[in-house]
Amino acid sequence: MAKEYFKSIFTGFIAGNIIAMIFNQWIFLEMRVNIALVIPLSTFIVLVVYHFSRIKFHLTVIFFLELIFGLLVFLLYNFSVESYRIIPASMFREGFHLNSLSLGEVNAVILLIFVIANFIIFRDSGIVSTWFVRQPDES
Amino acid sequence: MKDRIRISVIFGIIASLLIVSCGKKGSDQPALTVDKQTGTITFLAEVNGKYLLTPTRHGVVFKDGKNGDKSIFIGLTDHKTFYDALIAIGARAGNNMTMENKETTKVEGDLLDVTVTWKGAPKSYTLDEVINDSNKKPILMRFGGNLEKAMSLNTGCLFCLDSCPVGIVSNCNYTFGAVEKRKEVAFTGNKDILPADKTLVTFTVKLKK
Repeated sequence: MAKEYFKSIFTGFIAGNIIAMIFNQWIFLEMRVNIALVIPLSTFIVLVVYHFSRIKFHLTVIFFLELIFGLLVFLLYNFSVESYRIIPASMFREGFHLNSLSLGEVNAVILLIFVIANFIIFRDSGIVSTWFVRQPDES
Repeated sequence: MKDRIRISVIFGIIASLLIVSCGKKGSDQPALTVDKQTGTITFLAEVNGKYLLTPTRHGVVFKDGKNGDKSIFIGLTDHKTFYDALIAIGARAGNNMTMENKETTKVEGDLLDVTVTWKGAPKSYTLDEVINDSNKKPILMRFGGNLEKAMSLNTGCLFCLDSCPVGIVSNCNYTFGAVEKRKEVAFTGNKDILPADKTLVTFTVKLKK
């Protein structure tokens, strides 16, 4: 049960990041509102939706959301590898009002969230367990 | 049970970071100083890494202003103190921008010489060196004034990159709307020169001779 809640939080978080990044391209809007607020908002909405509907978040959906997120960072910012260091962290910082943290510190938080979330979510899928979790001896 | 522990650990880490971020101390240096004898203003700001890749029309904005996180540099001094400092060094404000004429009028007022440096920088850089104008036009900063509107709207704008009816100082090369509406130009911080996000930088402003 706790894992399903966690999956819903992570799905909302990734979806919020994708929406924020797309809207961030609209300079007029970006200059006027805190677009990144969509990240905590989306996280909360998806969590509430899960709480009341018990909708299942399939692993494939989460995987493709992560893939889209990763590709968008690269595609929307002039195919610059540096955008991975700047864009997600600046969105996260704005969205969660962590203004006194540097992008480096925020990147550490994001990395931690992604590593732990992916481990928890994909642990039983066969991908992580094959690589990292020692399997019981079948013999 | 294990899942609950892991989730608690994640939220614990995020909460700790929030607490650490709240407890961070700023610089001990004064945010703005005026040297009337040399006619020089120096003020502190921080680099905002976001705008090294994302275009903006805000050069420097006071951290507690409404646009405090929308600029290439986050100013540690407020717009009123900055305005008073410019008056103290004898600068004349243009005060020619209004909400009605902003898209057809370029900012007037005394032309300013602006440089920026930071700890470990090899020299003082001009605004042209630290801010990229997609049209490669040299940035021309004029003391627009606009104190009344700046105070009532509390945007915190110190340096705008197009002529602005609210900002204290504006780039007179473009009229309002050049960045957001008409897409005539895009401004970003120069990532090849500027230091890392949150680095404290010192701006020096004086009248252009």
